[in-house]
Amino acid sequence: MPIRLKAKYAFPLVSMLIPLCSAVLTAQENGLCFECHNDPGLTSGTGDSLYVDSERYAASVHGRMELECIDCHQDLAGFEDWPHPRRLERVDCGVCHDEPMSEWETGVHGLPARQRNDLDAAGCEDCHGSHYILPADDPASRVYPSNLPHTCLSCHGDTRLEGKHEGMGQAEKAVSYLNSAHGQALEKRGLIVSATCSSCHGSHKISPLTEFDLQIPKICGNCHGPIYHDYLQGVHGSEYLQGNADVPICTDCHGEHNILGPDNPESRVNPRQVGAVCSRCHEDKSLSSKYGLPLGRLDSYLESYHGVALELGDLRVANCASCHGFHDIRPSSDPESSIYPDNLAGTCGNCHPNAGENFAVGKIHVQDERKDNLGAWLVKKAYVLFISGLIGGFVAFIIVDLIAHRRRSRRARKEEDPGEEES
Amino acid sequence: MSEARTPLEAFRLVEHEGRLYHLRFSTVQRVQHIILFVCFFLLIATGMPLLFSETWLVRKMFWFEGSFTIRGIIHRAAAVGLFCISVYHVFYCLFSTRGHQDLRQMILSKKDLVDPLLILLYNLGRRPEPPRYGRFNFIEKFEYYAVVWGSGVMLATGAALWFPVQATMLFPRWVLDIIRVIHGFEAILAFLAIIIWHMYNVHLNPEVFPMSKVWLNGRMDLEFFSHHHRLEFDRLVDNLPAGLLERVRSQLNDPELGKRTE
Repeated sequence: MPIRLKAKYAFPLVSMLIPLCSAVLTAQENGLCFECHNDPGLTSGTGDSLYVDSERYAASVHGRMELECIDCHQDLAGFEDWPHPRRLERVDCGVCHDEPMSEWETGVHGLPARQRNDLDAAGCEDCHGSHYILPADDPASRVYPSNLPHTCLSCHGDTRLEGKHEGMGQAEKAVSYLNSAHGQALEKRGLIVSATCSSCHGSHKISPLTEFDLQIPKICGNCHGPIYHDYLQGVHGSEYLQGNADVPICTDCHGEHNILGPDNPESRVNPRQVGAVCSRCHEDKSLSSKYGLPLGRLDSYLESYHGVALELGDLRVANCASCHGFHDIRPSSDPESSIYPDNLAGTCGNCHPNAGENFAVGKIHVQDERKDNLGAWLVKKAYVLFISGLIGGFVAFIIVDLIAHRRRSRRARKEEDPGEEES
Repeated sequence: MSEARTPLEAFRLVEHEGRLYHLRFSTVQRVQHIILFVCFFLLIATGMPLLFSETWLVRKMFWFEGSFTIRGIIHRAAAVGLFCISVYHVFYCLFSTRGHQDLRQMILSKKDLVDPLLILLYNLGRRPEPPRYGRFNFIEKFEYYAVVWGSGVMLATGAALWFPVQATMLFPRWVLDIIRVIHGFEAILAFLAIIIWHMYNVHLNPEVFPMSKVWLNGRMDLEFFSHHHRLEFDRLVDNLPAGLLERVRSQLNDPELGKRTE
């Protein structure tokens, strides 16, 4: 624990010390260490490998800078009675990398270490490696964008670690990133600008989810700028800006790790699933009464031709977003809204070219047909009455006909052979 | 001998395997019927799923991608087929000899209102004899007008639904919503009428079970003809030349046939 308190001062201090002590240190060049440690068979008393590949070390970012073993393993500085008998102290990367270190300390991985010396969460070496650290822009680096997900998932994708620590309960969710639009862009198309773990969660300072959630639209906006702008214009985004926690943010509709493009049938914003996503809030009774949102939107949609056709697999028909928009959804009272009365014909015209004013005259989300379209209601009732009457008549006629036919044929048989009935 | 040369067709008679039959439907009429019911069942099969989209069977119907689009194409193609055969039928009724004759027989009369009551009373044992029918009895007339009405309604409402933009130039969209209701219910009505009423009368009815073959070969047995279309049969007998009448008599085992008992 006292290690950390020194961190800030350690680097300048050590950098001054190195040249001063260089006379002593020359006796402890790397060669000396590798005399023993370059042996693949070298193990500790407990059987752990103590092997360090000198060539791989030399190729590492630290090796290329010609750092000495003791620059990190400082507890060996000045040691002369080789071999050193004991296990070395934990290396303090903060001696040189003080800024990432202090960020780490305030994030979810570093806090347990600082607060209760719990070093189980990821430390520097868990992500960056130890002896063979490569620069972050080297495609072989463990923190290179396309490798980072696998590095994080080595813990966060491990179901055995679920529940071991706070925030470690969602391995499946985390792994789903690999198949997401972001993960696939990274892995299949090699787009290293695609969002990887650190793009959203940060790298050294990873915030707990309670702080992170509030930032999501801004974080997404880092890459999806114009969409973030659109979002803020709409009814959801403007409420978000005012701190309303009820409104959906990006992840509520798009999902989190498993974000998929709208063309993917599994995507939550695929036409097939849009209705379910919107109705999570818009069919919610408590939200409905809190904000005066009309209910029954989904049902009335599903009863329309659009709804039926969509259910049966025609994805070209209108879904919620086709009429209401998506990122910048506005209420019908907003003159800029796609469903503002004056704009309706144009909105319908997106799919039905040349749709005139008449095309939009009539209620779309018919809930109470008797009130919303009395004509349709009356026609329906009349048909039900007429059809049941007619079919009832048919059936009655047929039954009478069948009975009569049977009676006649029995009588005919009897006339042919009068003895039959008695015998 | 000269009478044997009289064309049988003039009396709607046809000879088959040495026996005479009444030719109830001509080839042209039978082909019209086949085209009509092929279109009808295609329309039903591709239209009904929309009314019962929640059901398991319908979900299974559209299992592959694009199947719903194909459904729409078949539905519209069959509708065009129905439209064409309907237009043809109108011309057939107005301008062909046989079509015109049959259309005249199809005209409703007071008898068609009384006959249902008479047959009911007969079936209930309150009358000794069933009513005597002409070429088309009230059941057949009812079916014919139901088809005419149904096709008209379905074609008109279907056209509006097919071209909603053009339709809403004539009326507001809420009318189109009503039209959609009509299209659906009229389809149910037509389907039930065919399945229950028509199928009973031409298939399940004990008199014709398992199926009347008239729609295939057009021939109706003279005995059946004399029972079920007595008035037309009598008209035939009245007009038959002596030679043919003799054949009919011997075929029906009724030497008194056609001899007036004044």
